[in-house]
Amino acid sequence: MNHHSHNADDPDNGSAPVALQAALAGLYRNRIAIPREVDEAVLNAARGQLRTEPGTWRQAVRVLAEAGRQVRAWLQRPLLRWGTATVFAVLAIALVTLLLPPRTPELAADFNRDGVVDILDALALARAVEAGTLRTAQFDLNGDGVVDRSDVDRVAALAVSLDGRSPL
Amino acid sequence: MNRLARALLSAACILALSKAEQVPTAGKADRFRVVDVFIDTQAQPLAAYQVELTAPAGTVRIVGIEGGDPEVFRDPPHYDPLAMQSERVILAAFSTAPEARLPAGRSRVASVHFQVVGDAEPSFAVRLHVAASAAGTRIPAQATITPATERTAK
Repeated sequence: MNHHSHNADDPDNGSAPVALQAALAGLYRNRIAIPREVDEAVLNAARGQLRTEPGTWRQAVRVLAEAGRQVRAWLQRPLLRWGTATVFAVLAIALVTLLLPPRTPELAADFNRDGVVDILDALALARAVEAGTLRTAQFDLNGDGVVDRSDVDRVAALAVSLDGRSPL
Repeated sequence: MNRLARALLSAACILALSKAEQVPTAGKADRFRVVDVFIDTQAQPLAAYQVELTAPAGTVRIVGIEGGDPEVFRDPPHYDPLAMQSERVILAAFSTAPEARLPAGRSRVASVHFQVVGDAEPSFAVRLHVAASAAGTRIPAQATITPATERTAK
């Protein structure tokens, strides 16, 4: 039989040689002293680098403030002021017109708010007229100042209209 | 010569008489149809209805609309005057009468008179838009029409 003895110096056993282990352990045994001046120099360099970021923000704010001052001065000219006001007014009116639903006869006639003008709206409006429970002139479809049977007839006329327009 | 002239004159008279027989002396009798519209709500009282009655284009013209049998629907229903002389109409009526006076079951709610255009026999169709109870809520119902009855006018 062939017996192998365990030897640390044997390169086949997977461990570093004993001499190398001793040399490496001795290498880090003594702390390396870094002079205080070097530390300070590194810190100062880092702070200087970081100090440029707030400076950039301040510069941007200054540019924006200056732009604002120029716009305000521009708007203080009377002609431009009125022109700007007119433009904003037109935009506001256009926005309201777009957002609010159109006040068409068909919409006003949809008494039960189911999205369709049919005889059910006329029935509901007729009942409300008879009961006197209407508190709004919203359903004064013929514009005579009162909500009565003629408005009910107008709703019914819209319900049976072949072209979507009230024949009344 | 005289004989020839007489023969020609006779031939012309015969020809004229035969042509005259081909020209109608009186207008062709107009044909009319009446279509009755029924709504069946089973047992529920009917307070309002809306139906659409149509015929193929160019076959008929609407000439009259009348109400139905129940007292509350005896007046002619609402309809668009544009429907007159056309082949399509939307009929609708409602009543705010107490529920006890409203019809239930199958009722004739309207009749529509048509003039037939041309020789083809017209066909009609009805579609229920809505039927409602006294509370104004939709109720299940069925709209039907009777086969058109013929009425002839000269």
